[in-house]
Amino acid sequence: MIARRIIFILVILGLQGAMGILIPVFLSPPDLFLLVALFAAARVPLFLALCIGYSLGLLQDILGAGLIGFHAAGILAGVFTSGFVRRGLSAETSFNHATTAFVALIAKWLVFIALNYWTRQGILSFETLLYRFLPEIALTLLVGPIIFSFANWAFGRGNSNNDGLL
Amino acid sequence: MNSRVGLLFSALLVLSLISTRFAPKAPLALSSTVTPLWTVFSVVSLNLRHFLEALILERDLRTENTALKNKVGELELRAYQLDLEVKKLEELADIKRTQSPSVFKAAQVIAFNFDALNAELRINKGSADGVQLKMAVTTPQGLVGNVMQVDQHSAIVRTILDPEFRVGVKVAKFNNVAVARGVAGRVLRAENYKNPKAKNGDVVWSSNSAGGVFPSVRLGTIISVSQSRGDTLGQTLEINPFVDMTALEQVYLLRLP
Repeated sequence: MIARRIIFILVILGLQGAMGILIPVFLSPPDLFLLVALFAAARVPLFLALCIGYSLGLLQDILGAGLIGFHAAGILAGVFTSGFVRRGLSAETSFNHATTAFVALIAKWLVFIALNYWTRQGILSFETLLYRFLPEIALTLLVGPIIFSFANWAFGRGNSNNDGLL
Repeated sequence: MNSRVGLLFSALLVLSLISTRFAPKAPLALSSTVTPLWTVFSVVSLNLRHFLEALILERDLRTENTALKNKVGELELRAYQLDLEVKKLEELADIKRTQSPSVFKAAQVIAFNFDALNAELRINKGSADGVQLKMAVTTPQGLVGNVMQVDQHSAIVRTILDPEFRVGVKVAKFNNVAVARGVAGRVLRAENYKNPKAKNGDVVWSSNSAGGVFPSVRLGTIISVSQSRGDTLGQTLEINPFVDMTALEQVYLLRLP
Protein backbone atom coordinates (compact mmCIF):
# COMPACT_ATOMS: atom_id res chain seq x y z
CA MET A 1 0.00 0.00 0.00
CA ILE A 2 2.90 2.34 0.75
CA ALA A 3 4.31 1.75 -2.72
CA ARG A 4 0.93 2.60 -4.25
CA ARG A 5 0.79 5.85 -2.32
CA ILE A 6 4.28 6.81 -3.45
CA ILE A 7 3.33 6.00 -7.04
CA PHE A 8 0.16 8.05 -6.64
CA ILE A 9 2.06 11.09 -5.35
CA LEU A 10 4.71 10.86 -8.06
CA VAL A 11 2.16 10.42 -10.83
CA ILE A 12 0.06 13.36 -9.60
CA LEU A 13 3.15 15.54 -9.36
CA GLY A 14 4.32 14.49 -12.82
CA LEU A 15 0.88 14.71 -14.41
CA GLN A 16 0.26 18.20 -13.12
CA GLY A 17 3.42 19.29 -14.96
CA ALA A 18 2.73 17.17 -18.03
CA MET A 19 -0.79 18.53 -18.43
CA GLY A 20 0.68 21.86 -19.37
CA ILE A 21 2.34 20.20 -22.36
CA LEU A 22 -0.48 17.92 -23.42
CA ILE A 23 -3.20 20.54 -23.24
CA PRO A 24 -3.15 23.46 -25.70
CA VAL A 25 -1.45 26.50 -24.25
CA PHE A 26 -4.57 28.67 -24.36
CA LEU A 27 -6.42 26.27 -22.04
CA SER A 28 -5.86 25.67 -18.37
CA PRO A 29 -4.99 22.18 -17.17
CA PRO A 30 -7.15 20.53 -14.51
CA ASP A 31 -6.27 21.21 -10.88
CA LEU A 32 -5.11 17.79 -9.70
CA PHE A 33 -3.91 19.15 -6.36
CA LEU A 34 -7.40 20.36 -5.55
CA LEU A 35 -8.84 16.98 -6.50
CA VAL A 36 -6.36 15.25 -4.21
CA ALA A 37 -7.25 17.66 -1.42
CA LEU A 38 -10.94 16.96 -1.98
CA PHE A 39 -10.25 13.25 -1.90
CA ALA A 40 -8.48 13.77 1.43
CA ALA A 41 -11.41 15.82 2.68
CA ALA A 42 -13.67 12.85 2.00
CA ARG A 43 -11.45 10.52 4.02
CA VAL A 44 -10.13 12.45 6.98
CA PRO A 45 -11.57 15.00 9.38
CA LEU A 46 -12.04 18.41 7.86
CA PHE A 47 -9.53 19.93 10.24
CA LEU A 48 -6.83 17.63 8.94
CA ALA A 49 -8.09 17.99 5.37
CA LEU A 50 -7.62 21.75 5.61
CA CYS A 51 -4.02 21.21 6.66
CA ILE A 52 -3.45 18.76 3.82
CA GLY A 53 -5.08 21.07 1.30
CA TYR A 54 -3.11 24.06 2.47
CA SER A 55 0.10 22.04 2.32
CA LEU A 56 -0.67 20.87 -1.19
CA GLY A 57 -1.34 24.47 -2.20
CA LEU A 58 1.94 25.59 -0.69
CA LEU A 59 3.69 22.80 -2.56
CA GLN A 60 2.05 24.03 -5.77
CA ASP A 61 3.22 27.59 -5.05
CA ILE A 62 6.75 26.46 -4.36
CA LEU A 63 6.94 24.21 -7.42
CA GLY A 64 5.53 26.97 -9.58
CA ALA A 65 7.82 29.56 -8.00
CA GLY A 66 4.81 31.83 -7.53
CA LEU A 67 3.37 33.88 -4.69
CA ILE A 68 3.68 31.84 -1.53
CA GLY A 69 0.22 31.09 -0.18
CA PHE A 70 -1.74 31.98 -3.33
CA HIS A 71 -2.73 28.47 -4.41
CA ALA A 72 -2.66 27.39 -0.79
CA ALA A 73 -5.45 29.81 0.06
CA GLY A 74 -7.39 28.71 -3.01
CA ILE A 75 -7.26 25.04 -2.17
CA LEU A 76 -7.95 25.84 1.45
CA ALA A 77 -11.16 27.61 0.45
CA GLY A 78 -12.07 24.71 -1.85
CA VAL A 79 -11.65 22.14 0.90
CA PHE A 80 -13.47 24.32 3.41
CA THR A 81 -16.54 24.78 1.20
CA SER A 82 -16.49 21.12 0.23
CA GLY A 83 -17.07 20.38 3.92
CA PHE A 84 -20.31 22.33 3.77
CA VAL A 85 -21.41 20.74 0.53
CA ARG A 86 -20.67 17.23 1.69
CA ARG A 87 -22.80 17.77 4.78
CA GLY A 88 -25.80 18.28 2.54
CA LEU A 89 -25.15 15.27 0.36
CA SER A 90 -26.35 11.90 1.51
CA ALA A 91 -24.31 9.49 -0.57
CA GLU A 92 -20.93 9.03 -2.28
CA THR A 93 -22.03 9.23 -5.89
CA SER A 94 -20.24 10.54 -8.93
CA PHE A 95 -22.73 13.37 -9.19
CA ASN A 96 -22.11 14.39 -5.59
CA HIS A 97 -18.36 14.25 -6.16
CA ALA A 98 -18.75 16.47 -9.20
CA THR A 99 -20.96 18.91 -7.29
CA THR A 100 -18.43 19.08 -4.48
CA ALA A 101 -15.57 19.67 -6.92
CA PHE A 102 -17.56 22.31 -8.78
CA VAL A 103 -18.33 24.28 -5.63
CA ALA A 104 -14.74 23.90 -4.45
CA LEU A 105 -13.45 25.27 -7.77
CA ILE A 106 -15.78 28.26 -7.50
CA ALA A 107 -14.56 28.93 -3.96
CA LYS A 108 -10.96 28.60 -5.06
CA TRP A 109 -11.38 31.12 -7.82
CA LEU A 110 -13.29 33.54 -5.58
CA VAL A 111 -10.33 33.47 -3.22
CA PHE A 112 -8.00 33.97 -6.19
CA ILE A 113 -9.98 37.05 -7.19
CA ALA A 114 -9.86 38.35 -3.64
CA LEU A 115 -6.12 37.72 -3.39
CA ASN A 116 -5.60 39.35 -6.74
CA TYR A 117 -7.21 42.47 -5.41
CA TRP A 118 -5.29 42.16 -2.16
CA THR A 119 -1.86 41.74 -3.70
CA ARG A 120 -2.45 44.50 -6.31
CA GLN A 121 -0.41 42.48 -8.75
CA GLY A 122 -3.02 42.27 -11.47
CA ILE A 123 -2.48 38.55 -11.98
CA LEU A 124 -6.08 37.93 -12.99
CA SER A 125 -8.00 39.59 -15.78
CA PHE A 126 -11.25 38.98 -17.59
CA GLU A 127 -9.38 36.93 -20.18
CA THR A 128 -7.85 34.83 -17.42
CA LEU A 129 -11.28 34.06 -16.08
CA LEU A 130 -12.58 33.25 -19.53
CA TYR A 131 -9.71 31.10 -20.79
CA ARG A 132 -8.46 29.67 -17.49
CA PHE A 133 -11.39 29.45 -15.15
CA LEU A 134 -13.95 27.79 -17.42
CA PRO A 135 -11.57 25.24 -19.01
CA GLU A 136 -10.14 24.40 -15.62
CA ILE A 137 -13.60 23.68 -14.24
CA ALA A 138 -14.51 21.57 -17.24
CA LEU A 139 -11.25 19.61 -17.31
CA THR A 140 -11.12 19.15 -13.55
CA LEU A 141 -14.64 17.76 -13.52
CA LEU A 142 -13.71 15.56 -16.47
CA VAL A 143 -10.64 13.97 -14.91
CA GLY A 144 -12.11 13.98 -11.40
CA PRO A 145 -13.54 10.44 -11.54
CA ILE A 146 -10.23 9.11 -12.88
CA ILE A 147 -8.20 10.78 -10.15
CA PHE A 148 -10.65 9.61 -7.49
CA SER A 149 -10.45 6.04 -8.79
CA PHE A 150 -6.67 6.30 -8.87
CA ALA A 151 -6.69 7.62 -5.30
CA ASN A 152 -9.00 4.79 -4.22
CA TRP A 153 -6.50 2.36 -5.74
CA ALA A 154 -3.66 4.00 -3.83
CA PHE A 155 -5.32 4.63 -0.49
CA GLY A 156 -8.10 2.05 -0.46
CA ARG A 157 -11.83 2.65 -0.61
CA GLY A 158 -13.37 4.83 2.10
CA ASN A 159 -16.63 4.27 3.94
CA SER A 160 -19.10 7.01 3.15
CA ASN A 161 -20.03 10.52 4.05
CA ASN A 162 -17.63 11.93 6.56
CA ASP A 163 -20.19 13.54 8.82
CA GLY A 164 -19.10 11.40 11.65
CA LEU A 165 -15.44 12.12 11.17
CA LEU A 166 -15.57 15.70 12.29
CA MET B 1 -18.40 21.88 11.51
CA ASN B 2 -16.84 23.04 14.73
CA SER B 3 -15.12 26.21 15.67
CA ARG B 4 -11.65 24.64 15.45
CA VAL B 5 -12.11 24.19 11.74
CA GLY B 6 -13.32 27.75 11.33
CA LEU B 7 -10.40 29.06 13.31
CA LEU B 8 -7.90 27.04 11.33
CA PHE B 9 -9.43 28.19 8.05
CA SER B 10 -9.31 31.80 9.15
CA ALA B 11 -5.76 31.51 10.41
CA LEU B 12 -4.47 29.92 7.24
CA LEU B 13 -6.33 32.44 5.12
CA VAL B 14 -4.77 35.30 7.02
CA LEU B 15 -1.41 33.60 6.68
CA SER B 16 -1.92 33.52 2.92
CA LEU B 17 -2.96 37.16 2.87
CA ILE B 18 0.24 38.08 4.61
CA SER B 19 2.51 35.78 2.63
CA THR B 20 1.12 36.71 -0.76
CA ARG B 21 1.47 40.40 -0.04
CA PHE B 22 4.71 40.49 1.87
CA ALA B 23 6.63 37.24 1.49
CA PRO B 24 9.09 36.90 -1.39
CA LYS B 25 8.35 34.45 -4.18
CA ALA B 26 9.46 30.88 -3.71
CA PRO B 27 13.04 30.37 -4.82
CA LEU B 28 13.57 28.25 -7.91
CA ALA B 29 15.89 25.99 -5.95
CA LEU B 30 12.86 24.51 -4.20
CA SER B 31 11.05 23.68 -7.40
CA SER B 32 14.25 22.20 -8.77
CA THR B 33 13.86 19.27 -6.40
CA VAL B 34 11.11 17.81 -8.55
CA THR B 35 12.69 18.81 -11.84
CA PRO B 36 13.92 15.26 -12.67
CA LEU B 37 10.40 13.92 -12.16
CA TRP B 38 8.90 16.67 -14.30
CA THR B 39 11.54 16.10 -16.94
CA VAL B 40 10.52 12.46 -17.27
CA PHE B 41 6.84 13.34 -17.53
CA SER B 42 7.58 16.25 -19.83
CA VAL B 43 9.55 14.07 -22.24
CA VAL B 44 6.83 11.43 -22.25
CA SER B 45 4.17 14.11 -22.71
CA LEU B 46 6.09 15.81 -25.48
CA ASN B 47 6.56 12.54 -27.32
CA LEU B 48 2.90 11.68 -26.88
CA ARG B 49 1.89 15.11 -28.13
CA HIS B 50 4.20 14.90 -31.13
CA PHE B 51 2.86 11.45 -31.91
CA LEU B 52 -0.73 12.73 -31.81
CA GLU B 53 0.17 15.78 -33.88
CA ALA B 54 1.94 13.58 -36.42
CA LEU B 55 -1.13 11.36 -36.65
CA ILE B 56 -3.41 14.34 -37.19
CA LEU B 57 -0.99 15.94 -39.66
CA GLU B 58 -0.66 12.71 -41.62
CA ARG B 59 -4.43 12.36 -41.79
CA ASP B 60 -4.80 15.97 -42.89
CA LEU B 61 -2.04 15.60 -45.46
CA ARG B 62 -3.62 12.47 -46.85
CA THR B 63 -6.97 14.21 -47.19
CA GLU B 64 -5.34 17.27 -48.72
CA ASN B 65 -3.28 15.12 -51.06
CA THR B 66 -6.36 13.29 -52.29
CA ALA B 67 -8.20 16.56 -52.81
CA LEU B 68 -5.25 18.05 -54.67
CA LYS B 69 -4.91 14.96 -56.87
CA ASN B 70 -8.59 15.22 -57.76
CA LYS B 71 -8.14 18.90 -58.47
CA VAL B 72 -5.12 18.24 -60.67
CA GLY B 73 -7.08 15.56 -62.53
CA GLU B 74 -9.92 17.99 -63.14
CA LEU B 75 -7.55 20.71 -64.28
CA GLU B 76 -5.68 18.34 -66.59
CA LEU B 77 -8.96 17.23 -68.12
CA ARG B 78 -10.03 20.84 -68.50
CA ALA B 79 -6.69 21.78 -70.03
CA TYR B 80 -6.97 18.86 -72.44
CA GLN B 81 -10.48 19.93 -73.42
CA LEU B 82 -9.30 23.49 -73.93
CA ASP B 83 -6.38 22.28 -76.03
CA LEU B 84 -8.78 20.33 -78.20
CA GLU B 85 -11.02 23.34 -78.49
CA VAL B 86 -8.12 25.59 -79.45
CA LYS B 87 -6.88 23.04 -81.94
CA LYS B 88 -10.34 22.76 -83.45
CA LEU B 89 -10.70 26.51 -83.78
CA GLU B 90 -7.23 26.84 -85.29
CA GLU B 91 -7.99 24.12 -87.79
CA LEU B 92 -11.33 25.68 -88.63
CA ALA B 93 -9.66 29.01 -89.27
CA ASP B 94 -7.02 27.26 -91.35
CA ILE B 95 -9.58 25.45 -93.46
CA LYS B 96 -11.59 28.62 -93.96
CA ARG B 97 -8.51 30.42 -95.12
CA THR B 98 -6.93 27.74 -97.30
CA GLN B 99 -9.77 25.54 -98.53
CA SER B 100 -13.27 26.90 -98.29
CA PRO B 101 -15.09 29.56 -96.27
CA SER B 102 -18.08 27.24 -96.10
CA VAL B 103 -16.84 25.13 -93.23
CA PHE B 104 -19.97 23.80 -91.65
CA LYS B 105 -19.17 21.68 -88.63
CA ALA B 106 -16.44 19.74 -86.84
CA ALA B 107 -17.00 16.07 -86.11
CA GLN B 108 -15.17 13.41 -84.15
CA VAL B 109 -14.15 10.20 -85.87
CA ILE B 110 -15.73 7.44 -83.82
CA ALA B 111 -15.01 4.35 -85.94
CA PHE B 112 -12.95 3.10 -88.89
CA ASN B 113 -13.84 0.57 -91.52
CA PHE B 114 -10.76 -0.27 -93.55
CA ASP B 115 -10.96 -3.68 -95.16
CA ALA B 116 -10.30 -5.20 -98.57
CA LEU B 117 -13.14 -3.32 -100.22
CA ASN B 118 -13.89 -0.35 -98.04
CA ALA B 119 -12.05 2.63 -96.65
CA GLU B 120 -14.67 4.39 -94.57
CA LEU B 121 -15.00 6.39 -91.36
CA ARG B 122 -17.89 6.95 -89.02
CA ILE B 123 -18.33 10.40 -87.52
CA ASN B 124 -20.41 11.52 -84.55
CA LYS B 125 -22.57 14.02 -86.40
CA GLY B 126 -25.72 13.11 -88.32
CA SER B 127 -28.83 14.55 -89.87
CA ALA B 128 -29.87 16.00 -86.52
CA ASP B 129 -26.77 18.15 -86.75
CA GLY B 130 -27.47 19.18 -90.32
CA VAL B 131 -25.16 16.70 -92.03
CA GLN B 132 -26.22 15.89 -95.59
CA LEU B 133 -25.22 13.36 -98.22
CA LYS B 134 -22.23 14.23 -100.40
CA MET B 135 -20.90 16.87 -98.05
CA ALA B 136 -17.13 17.14 -98.44
CA VAL B 137 -15.10 16.07 -95.42
CA THR B 138 -11.71 17.60 -94.93
CA THR B 139 -8.89 18.46 -92.54
CA PRO B 140 -6.27 21.19 -92.61
CA GLN B 141 -3.87 18.66 -94.16
CA GLY B 142 -6.15 17.80 -97.06
CA LEU B 143 -9.32 16.18 -98.32
CA VAL B 144 -10.65 13.15 -96.45
CA GLY B 145 -13.68 12.14 -98.51
CA ASN B 146 -17.41 12.74 -98.59
CA VAL B 147 -20.52 11.72 -96.71
CA MET B 148 -22.07 8.57 -98.16
CA GLN B 149 -24.69 7.68 -95.54
CA VAL B 150 -26.40 9.67 -92.82
CA ASP B 151 -28.50 8.70 -89.88
CA GLN B 152 -29.77 10.88 -87.08
CA HIS B 153 -26.63 11.10 -84.96
CA SER B 154 -23.81 9.74 -87.07
CA ALA B 155 -22.68 9.48 -90.65
CA ILE B 156 -20.43 7.28 -92.79
CA VAL B 157 -17.66 9.01 -94.69
CA ARG B 158 -16.24 7.39 -97.79
CA THR B 159 -12.56 8.32 -97.84
CA ILE B 160 -10.59 9.20 -100.93
CA LEU B 161 -8.88 5.80 -100.68
CA ASP B 162 -12.15 3.88 -101.08
CA PRO B 163 -12.40 2.09 -104.47
CA GLU B 164 -15.82 3.63 -105.07
CA PHE B 165 -14.62 7.15 -104.41
CA ARG B 166 -14.28 9.46 -107.40
CA VAL B 167 -12.86 12.93 -107.43
CA GLY B 168 -11.70 15.34 -110.11
CA VAL B 169 -7.99 16.16 -109.75
CA LYS B 170 -5.52 18.54 -111.22
CA VAL B 171 -1.85 19.08 -110.72
CA ALA B 172 -1.32 22.49 -109.11
CA LYS B 173 0.84 23.93 -111.90
CA PHE B 174 -1.33 22.82 -114.83
CA ASN B 175 -4.90 23.22 -115.93
CA ASN B 176 -5.41 19.62 -117.08
CA VAL B 177 -7.87 17.56 -115.08
CA ALA B 178 -8.62 13.88 -114.64
CA VAL B 179 -10.78 11.67 -112.47
CA ALA B 180 -9.09 9.80 -109.63
CA ARG B 181 -10.32 6.87 -107.57
CA GLY B 182 -9.06 4.99 -104.57
CA VAL B 183 -6.92 1.95 -105.10
CA ALA B 184 -6.69 -0.82 -102.56
CA GLY B 185 -7.02 1.63 -99.66
CA ARG B 186 -3.49 2.77 -100.36
CA VAL B 187 -3.31 5.49 -103.03
CA LEU B 188 -5.43 7.50 -105.44
CA ARG B 189 -5.06 6.72 -109.10
CA ALA B 190 -5.89 9.19 -111.89
CA GLU B 191 -5.92 7.85 -115.44
CA ASN B 192 -5.85 9.64 -118.76
CA TYR B 193 -4.12 12.66 -117.40
CA LYS B 194 -3.05 14.57 -120.43
CA ASN B 195 -0.02 16.55 -119.49
CA PRO B 196 3.34 14.87 -119.91
CA LYS B 197 5.03 17.46 -117.73
CA ALA B 198 3.53 16.09 -114.49
CA LYS B 199 6.18 14.45 -112.38
CA ASN B 200 6.74 12.84 -109.02
CA GLY B 201 6.41 15.21 -106.06
CA ASP B 202 3.90 17.54 -107.69
CA VAL B 203 1.01 18.52 -105.44
CA VAL B 204 -2.44 17.41 -106.59
CA TRP B 205 -5.67 19.27 -105.75
CA SER B 206 -9.29 18.29 -106.09
CA SER B 207 -11.15 19.96 -108.93
CA ASN B 208 -14.80 20.56 -109.67
CA SER B 209 -14.22 20.74 -113.37
CA ALA B 210 -14.04 16.94 -113.47
CA GLY B 211 -17.33 16.51 -111.62
CA GLY B 212 -18.25 16.18 -107.95
CA VAL B 213 -18.91 18.87 -105.40
CA PHE B 214 -15.45 19.32 -104.00
CA PRO B 215 -13.89 22.72 -103.66
CA SER B 216 -10.26 22.98 -104.53
CA VAL B 217 -8.59 21.12 -101.68
CA ARG B 218 -5.14 19.61 -101.46
CA LEU B 219 -5.18 15.85 -101.99
CA GLY B 220 -1.63 14.57 -102.00
CA THR B 221 1.57 14.30 -103.99
CA ILE B 222 2.34 12.33 -107.12
CA ILE B 223 4.43 9.28 -106.35
CA SER B 224 4.28 7.61 -109.73
CA VAL B 225 3.73 8.73 -113.35
CA SER B 226 3.33 6.13 -116.06
CA GLN B 227 2.04 5.98 -119.59
CA SER B 228 -1.52 4.67 -119.72
CA ARG B 229 -1.91 1.30 -121.37
CA GLY B 230 -4.19 0.37 -124.26
CA ASP B 231 -5.66 2.86 -126.64
CA THR B 232 -5.99 5.60 -124.08
CA LEU B 233 -3.86 8.65 -124.24
CA GLY B 234 -2.09 10.39 -121.44
CA GLN B 235 -0.53 9.33 -118.15
CA THR B 236 -1.61 7.43 -115.10
CA LEU B 237 -0.82 9.25 -111.84
CA GLU B 238 -0.56 7.59 -108.51
CA ILE B 239 -1.18 10.04 -105.69
CA ASN B 240 -0.20 9.61 -102.06
CA PRO B 241 -2.76 11.40 -99.86
CA PHE B 242 -1.60 14.03 -97.39
CA VAL B 243 -4.03 12.76 -94.78
CA ASP B 244 -3.24 9.65 -92.76
CA MET B 245 -6.75 8.18 -92.65
CA THR B 246 -5.99 5.79 -89.83
CA ALA B 247 -4.79 8.55 -87.51
CA LEU B 248 -7.76 10.87 -87.86
CA GLU B 249 -9.50 12.10 -84.74
CA GLN B 250 -11.38 15.10 -85.99
CA VAL B 251 -12.67 16.13 -89.39
CA TYR B 252 -14.58 19.11 -90.79
CA LEU B 253 -17.63 19.12 -93.00
CA LEU B 254 -18.07 21.66 -95.79
CA ARG B 255 -21.45 22.97 -96.86
CA LEU B 256 -22.80 21.78 -100.18
CA PRO B 257 -22.47 24.43 -102.87
